[in-house]
Amino acid sequence: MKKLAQVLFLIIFGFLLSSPLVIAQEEFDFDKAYKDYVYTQQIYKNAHSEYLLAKSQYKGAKTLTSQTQAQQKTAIMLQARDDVVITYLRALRMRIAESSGVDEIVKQSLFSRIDNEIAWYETHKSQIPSAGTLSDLEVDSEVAADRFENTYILAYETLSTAPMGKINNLYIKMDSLLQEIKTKIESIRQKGDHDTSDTERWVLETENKLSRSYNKQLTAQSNIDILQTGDFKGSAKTYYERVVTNLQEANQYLREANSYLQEILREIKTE
Amino acid sequence: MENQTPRLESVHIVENNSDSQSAKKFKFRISISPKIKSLFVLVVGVTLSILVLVVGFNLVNRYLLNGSNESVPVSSPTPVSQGINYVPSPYADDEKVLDIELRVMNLENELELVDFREETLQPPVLDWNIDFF
Repeated sequence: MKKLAQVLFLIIFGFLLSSPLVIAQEEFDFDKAYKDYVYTQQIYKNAHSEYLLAKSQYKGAKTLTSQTQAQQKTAIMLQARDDVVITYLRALRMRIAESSGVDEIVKQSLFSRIDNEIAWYETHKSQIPSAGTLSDLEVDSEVAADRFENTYILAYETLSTAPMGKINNLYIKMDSLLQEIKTKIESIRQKGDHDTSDTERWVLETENKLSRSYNKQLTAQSNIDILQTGDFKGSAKTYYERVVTNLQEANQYLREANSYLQEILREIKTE
Repeated sequence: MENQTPRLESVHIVENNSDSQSAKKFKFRISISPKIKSLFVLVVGVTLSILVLVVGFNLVNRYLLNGSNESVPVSSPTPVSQGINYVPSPYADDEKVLDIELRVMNLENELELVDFREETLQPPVLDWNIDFF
């Protein structure tokens, strides 16, 4: 009896410990992450305004009081700036986590790199209060600025990967419908009660559109690969824009293929 | 050369003593040459004739030729499809075909609405240039 009570106690205790964690994990989705990001942006804006004021006062007065004030306000601003980047990366992470159609290996790779970035900014943020002078703060800022160049590329790589999942889903749906139509046409042809010569030819046309769409997806993927390797000239945003354009073109081919499917179905339904 | 402009020759105020003292009559006499008079009558006559002809023509056109007083139909700005009468095949009501058709229509909506651009998640614009000296 005593043992039973102990087991029951352990089960209940374990449940109580684990359930709030589970609830907390479930509640943190993209919307929540994005709200946090917007909130920290506002805090940063306020901190930045105070930093600019303190900086101008220090440059004008050059007193010890104004120097101390500038040091405090700069430290607060730098920490707020790190918070913006951290919450931004978390929002990006949730965006890719909620994107269906993205390969799981690709997701895990991005999670790992995003988490590394978050960890770096968290460490950097915790070190800011130890800066003794304005020069130390300048160095702290410069280190973060250098790091943000990598973060910027990772951000555009993530932003390019999420829509790849969207086009992938649409392509799979289209391909599945085409296969079903092909099977239906084959059964009609075998039955011999309806002419299928036109529809069989149109299926080939539709497959051609799908193939073109797939090629555009490959082009988009090659642009993402360039972003990942970091071996490119110019801005990462340029490559992101290219990916978006490639995906829009791929989508246009899918729309044309879909319109063909509608014609094929109309042909099947009529004499 | 004869002056043909109408001319106010005289104005007479005749006070009629037989009526009440307050009543007064004003007489205007304008002398107009006969040529202008006949021209004026001609112009008025022709205008009235045209007016009568136009009104008469409209009335005849509306009530006698068309036979009704309905308003003239206005052409539609959008062409109305005449519709093609398709002859249904044995597969017009096929369950599988209808199911595929429904999913094709749903996919069309998805393809139309999909957005590949992540406007809200563009990297934040921050001040990286911290310089005091």
